[in-house]
Amino acid sequence: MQIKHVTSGDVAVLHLQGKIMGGPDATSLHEKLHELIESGTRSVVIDLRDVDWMNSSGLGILIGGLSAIRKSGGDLRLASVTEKIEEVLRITKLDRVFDVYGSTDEAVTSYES
Amino acid sequence: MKQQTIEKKFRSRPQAVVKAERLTEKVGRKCEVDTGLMQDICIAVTEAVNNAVEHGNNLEPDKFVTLRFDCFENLIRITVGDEGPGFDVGLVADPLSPENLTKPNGRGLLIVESLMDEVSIKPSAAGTVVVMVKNLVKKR
Repeated sequence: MQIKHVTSGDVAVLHLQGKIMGGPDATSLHEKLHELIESGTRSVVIDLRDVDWMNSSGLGILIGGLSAIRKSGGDLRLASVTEKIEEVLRITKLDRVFDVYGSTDEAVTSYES
Repeated sequence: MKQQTIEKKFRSRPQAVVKAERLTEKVGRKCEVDTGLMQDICIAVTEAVNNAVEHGNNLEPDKFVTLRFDCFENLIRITVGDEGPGFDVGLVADPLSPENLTKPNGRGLLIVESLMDEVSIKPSAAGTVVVMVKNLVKKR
């Protein structure tokens, strides 16, 4: 899995690529999210358009990041989820926990309101 | 298609899940499994191998996880075995209950059971064996 970090105003956008399945790759995503939180970032968008699928390890990292950032008064929002990830979010009812947007632009601008 | 069996053992290290996923992709190509079904199978295999490595074998590198694929004309059967002390499936917390919904773990089994057509878990003192079946739709 590859992680590309770009900033749009006050919003950190993480563009992920590949598959999120646990193991060493998952550790790098966990570390990146916590690095952002510790540096004071409060608005995060995870762009999943290039992630084919993720398993519960990936979901666990995202939910861990979401909980940590919400505790600090911020939020983590998902953008451009693929069909398979949408299915996994639905199975686990995490579609009720995460705010999911159709595109990264929509997710970024949602922080303005 | 002739029945094919592929089996491999992995040491209980975090990298095992990546190796298992690569093997699954390879088996999928060999058995001409549809891309959408392959995603379900890859997710299920990585869940089962993750559980076997982390919870079954407790990341002890001297213990192995066995991954076996039996490919038939209309289905693929995947068996994942560990060498851990076994566990009580009934004690696994419901990941959909409100108090567990935002916990970082505990969803693996739910996902496996949702994506695969048949799942059985046989814990024993010699290790846990998970058998998963996916009915196949052939590539056109």
